[in-house]
Amino acid sequence: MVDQKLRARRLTRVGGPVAAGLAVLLALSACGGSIGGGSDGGDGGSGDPGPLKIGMLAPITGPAAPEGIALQRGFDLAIEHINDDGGVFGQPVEVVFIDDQADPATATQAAQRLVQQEEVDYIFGTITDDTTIAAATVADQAGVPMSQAIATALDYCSPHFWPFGETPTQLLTDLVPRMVEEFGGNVALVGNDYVFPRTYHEVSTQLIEEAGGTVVAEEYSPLGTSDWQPIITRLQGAEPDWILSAVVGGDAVSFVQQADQFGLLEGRGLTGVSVDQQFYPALAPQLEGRSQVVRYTDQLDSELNATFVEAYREAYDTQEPIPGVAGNAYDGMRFIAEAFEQAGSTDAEAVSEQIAEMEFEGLGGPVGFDPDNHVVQAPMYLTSIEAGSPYAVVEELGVVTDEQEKDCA
Amino acid sequence: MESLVTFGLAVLHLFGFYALLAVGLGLVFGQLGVVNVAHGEFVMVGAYVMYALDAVPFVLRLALAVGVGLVLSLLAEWTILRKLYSRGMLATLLAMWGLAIVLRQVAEAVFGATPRSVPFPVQGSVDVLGVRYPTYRLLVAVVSLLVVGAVLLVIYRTSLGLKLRASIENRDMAAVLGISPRVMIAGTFAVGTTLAVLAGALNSPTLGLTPGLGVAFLAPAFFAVLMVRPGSIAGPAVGALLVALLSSLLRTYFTETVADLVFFAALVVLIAVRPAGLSWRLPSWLTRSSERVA
Repeated sequence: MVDQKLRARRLTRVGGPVAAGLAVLLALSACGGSIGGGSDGGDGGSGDPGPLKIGMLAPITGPAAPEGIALQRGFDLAIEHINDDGGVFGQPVEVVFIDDQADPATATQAAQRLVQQEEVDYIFGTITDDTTIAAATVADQAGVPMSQAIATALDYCSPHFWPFGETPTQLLTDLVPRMVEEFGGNVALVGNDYVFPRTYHEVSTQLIEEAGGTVVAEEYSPLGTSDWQPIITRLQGAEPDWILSAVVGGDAVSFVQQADQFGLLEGRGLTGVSVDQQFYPALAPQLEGRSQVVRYTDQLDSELNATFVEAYREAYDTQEPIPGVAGNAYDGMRFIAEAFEQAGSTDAEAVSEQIAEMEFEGLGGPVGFDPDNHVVQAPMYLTSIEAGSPYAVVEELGVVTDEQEKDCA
Repeated sequence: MESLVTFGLAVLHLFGFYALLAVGLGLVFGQLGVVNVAHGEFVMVGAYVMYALDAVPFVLRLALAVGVGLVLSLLAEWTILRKLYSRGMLATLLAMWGLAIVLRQVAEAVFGATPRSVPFPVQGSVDVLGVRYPTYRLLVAVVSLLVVGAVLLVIYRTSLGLKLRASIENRDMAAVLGISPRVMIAGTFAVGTTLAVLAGALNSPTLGLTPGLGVAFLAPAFFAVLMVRPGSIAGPAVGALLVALLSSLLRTYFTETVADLVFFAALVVLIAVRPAGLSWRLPSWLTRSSERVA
């Protein structure tokens, strides 16, 4: 069992045309907006609940935009399907969307607007752990429940915070021993330098050692690194059997492309966050034949998933693998809507009580929460990245326990 | 020996990339007095042109990227900058900042936020003094430095280059002598930014393409320009070599994050101590000798 320790000048006058142009550009870059908002919101009490109002935060611009857009897509489809089925409390669910640009300060302001001006009943989002904590702190102070939906190493706990993201333990418990068995015990760890990759590798180090392996190299580089040669040279020098990468975003593509060019991937295993679905379009030749453990893949064999995949492909006109965060967001928002429906109220206590007890049929099987540490409980899948059917399920791993010692209730 | 060769190759690659960026940035600053904060976005444009036209042969695609760079930069100079020169550096800086945002947003709207890649046109590796090195990477470094060399040769050894330098030294006097300031300004901006587009296009197969990819290249290019005498044309190339050397050296002996920290701290200290840039013998010698020849 993994013992987790999650931590976590005088200004010259600017002429009118410049100022006006700048204002337009700033407005363009902010991209914030409101979708279907403008109601009086929920009553916050247990009487006759008004329409359910959800505040949605996602970085659809900035460094985490790929994940932010996927989160928004899964979420939007869930809202569409919920409303097609009659909404919540017999009324369509309303959404107020704000782009947090993956910036904690923006996320704090956005969350304040959501709870104070928009008076939302629930906040859904966002992507990076620091922005999520920023928004969750505001939500917690206002007594508004909140969820996120992407793989996370959050060291945050609150009675009304229910993260749908996979924990590093859930992602790595089955993956690491299999990789050690298939490729060998010498493992190189690489990642971007922020909380999630470091926590991910703390967990992986323990699992590698438990599986009889050794970490022969561990390298981190700041987000936005484009030249990976020094790191690749050091990794090559350590002669690993396989590489576990927590390099994310555009950096993941740069790293894998350059590692391939320098011959680092020849005869070696590669897995981790860098082989996730969102990188497949750019890295197909380098990723094919490799394994990954996921909670969501568009290859899941269920009627519910078939409907979701068809709707997703049609709505967003894409044939690329659907990112896991989109599936998590779809499941998460539907789960929350059901919790509100069952609670019959927008009261935070009543809703959290339902969330703690509920078991909900998600795209890949039943989804629930550990009522104490609020770790999401849902089946995980070992997948194989093959041309034609990338991320096809090889084995159902069931629910992977992550016994984090924290009492969120 | 092997690690020395590896180090040398790493410096060569970075030098080629940064020199293309810094010479372009330096030219625009010298001629127009414009701090082109959108320079990194022009790198991004070059990379996305290579991605979008993937059916076109690689070398032809490079030529098309240069064409797109020239058209885009002339359009930007004509529609945005021309009206703002009289308003000073702050106005043009803000305008270029706005242009950078627009270029990123357009890339996101057209290509989406999912990272993209450009396949390598040349596969395999070559043996450089016992070190196995990707052929394409070596090729890009050599081509980049040849382009920088050719640009400097044109500037210091042709009548067109003489006109350009005259326009930078004293635009009014140059205009009295029949050198059109408007043509010189637009032409310099086009060449400077197109060098950035070319840098992006050449390096696209080694990069993960996202709309924000250019942001990371602005700081090293700026430092390369700031390290040398303001207005110097060949100086930024020397600055690029120093930046490449310093960056590679730090990244060899420190972890990436510490190397980044020390790199930026060292450059800030350098600029604080020598705000007029370092006095380099080579650029001033080049300028004097070329004036004699001219």
